[in-house]
Amino acid sequence: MKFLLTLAGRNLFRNKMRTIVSLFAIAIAVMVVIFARGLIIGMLDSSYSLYIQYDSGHLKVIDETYDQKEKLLSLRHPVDGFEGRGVLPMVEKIESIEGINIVIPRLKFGAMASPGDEIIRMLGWGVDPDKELEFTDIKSNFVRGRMVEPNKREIVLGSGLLNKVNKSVGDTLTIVYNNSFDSFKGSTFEIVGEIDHYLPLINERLFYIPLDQAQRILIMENSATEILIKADSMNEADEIKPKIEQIINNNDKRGKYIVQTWDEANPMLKLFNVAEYIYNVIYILLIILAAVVVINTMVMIVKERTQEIGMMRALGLRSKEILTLFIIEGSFLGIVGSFFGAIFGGMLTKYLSVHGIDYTQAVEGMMEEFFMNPVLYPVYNLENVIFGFLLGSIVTALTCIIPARRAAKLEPHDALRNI
Amino acid sequence: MKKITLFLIISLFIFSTSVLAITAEEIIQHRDDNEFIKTARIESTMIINNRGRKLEKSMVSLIEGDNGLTEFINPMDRGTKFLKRDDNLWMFFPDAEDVVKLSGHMLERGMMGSDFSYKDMMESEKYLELYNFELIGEEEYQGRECYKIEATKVEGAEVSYYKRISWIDKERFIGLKEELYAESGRLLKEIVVTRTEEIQGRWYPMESTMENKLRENTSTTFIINSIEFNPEIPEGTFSLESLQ
Repeated sequence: MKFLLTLAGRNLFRNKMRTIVSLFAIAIAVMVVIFARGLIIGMLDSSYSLYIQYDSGHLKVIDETYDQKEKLLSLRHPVDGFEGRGVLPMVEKIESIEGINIVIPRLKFGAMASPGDEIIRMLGWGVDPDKELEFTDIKSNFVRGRMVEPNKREIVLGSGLLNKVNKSVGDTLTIVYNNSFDSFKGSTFEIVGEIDHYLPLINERLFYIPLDQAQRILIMENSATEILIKADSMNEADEIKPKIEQIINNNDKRGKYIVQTWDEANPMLKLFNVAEYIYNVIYILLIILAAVVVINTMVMIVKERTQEIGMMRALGLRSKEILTLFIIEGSFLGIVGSFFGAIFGGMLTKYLSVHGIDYTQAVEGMMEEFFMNPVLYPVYNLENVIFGFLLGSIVTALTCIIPARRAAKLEPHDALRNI
Repeated sequence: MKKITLFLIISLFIFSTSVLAITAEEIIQHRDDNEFIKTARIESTMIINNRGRKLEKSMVSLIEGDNGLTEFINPMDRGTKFLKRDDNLWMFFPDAEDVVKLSGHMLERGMMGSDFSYKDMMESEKYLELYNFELIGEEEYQGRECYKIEATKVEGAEVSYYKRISWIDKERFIGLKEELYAESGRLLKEIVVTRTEEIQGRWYPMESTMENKLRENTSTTFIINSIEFNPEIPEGTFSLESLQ
């Protein structure tokens, strides 16, 4: 074996340029795989996290009819608790289920402001302020002031929206809206905080008011439009869903509520799931593409060394040993190339995981539709680097079997014929 | 002699038809005499049927030419006021510190969730100035003989509907039904007058139902509980200060 290793090493250094090109191809492919995987994981994780915080939670309880009318911000199908006894006792009851971390009510409604002759359309969220801060990353996005406080006529808006309505923290803002009885109403709130968030939804459309104030102005005492639930992780949503359904069925006989997991609430996230599988296939194809360079190198080597193989076979080297020799040569290229690819891929991913890639310009139009951070931070982790290294090494070693088998199959008399 | 007799008959016929024929503009002028309000105080109720839900809103309105002030008096909306001055509309809400000015697309939305848009309620010009009229037929409607008149927007006039087809009572000169169309020819709204009354010598629609054909299962019935023409309206009634 030692002899075969020495022989393989010498062979690889016979044509240094060819070996370097093969190593380079593998290294680049592995580097791209590690970086792309880090980037995709980073992008999906960030989107999942945003959808969970601002749209669906890990699980969501809504009125069944509200599901179709959510986009219209209908107030006619609220979550009003078990048998209409109020949303807060329902929140507490769901929060007592094991495996659930936090449960929040949200009362979403459409509103407008009319500074001068312009009409600014807005989205109002009546929230439990403390819980909302715990549920989302909004706290770190306050640039001025603070979150609203319960029982106070206070409002918090995004920087973009504040600009549109030409107001700042400390001013008052009058909003107009239709209450749950379709009466057109107006109310004035004191602006106590400003949020600067990269999501256009939060920065340019959304305002927060205390849940009790939203219930008061919309005449929806004890109601919300949805309850959002966070478990320990998104993977546990399917397991927890039947527990919530059971509690609801035991306490409410009206059958009006449905429980949705994050991927049921957002068909888009289901697509993300499928995309992850597709990307995994793409990584393998990418490595195979690089391995083709190695196969090509190996085929050339077999061709060049036909007589030499014949000689070795005539001197007693068995077919299996010829196979091993060529697999060693191929694997060496795969392992060394993947090693350098893993090092550089890891370094690149690590660097960008800190500094990010700014996509702001490119995704400007998409941001209204999708929840994504326009500055992408690829995820750096050792597992991803090892994945790239192993994928590169194994795929290259496996593809080397083709030329190696060809070499092993050569009969000494055929190989020596051309001498 | 026969020739003279024939000439006389023909002349009489031509003369009589030219005297008796009424033009579309004259019909509208008569209708405007009845329905156009210079000054009035109106107490009314709006019953909104919206997909199975019935809401009732009551209000008191003061109208003087292009200006109008409406205050809602039903418990849900008590204190909400609209002030119309020329083409502008302001709203006051008891829960708000500022007066809100409505403009642009907002004015085309259903007023307080009804099938009447703010613009429908704001129209105060005489139709004769806004539309070209054509008498397109005569029909019986609700047991009354009616003129059927098509009104098409005068070029450059600012109106909510490109075309209106109205059924106007031949005897009382009051509109009994009206269809409102977009320029594309699509029927947008239909208003049917279900009760009329003669008040201070003029016929006036006291109860009418509007259906917005772009919305499903909705209709709004507007009932005038009392109307007083030419009342005394205190000075300053239509000022922004009076809203608050």
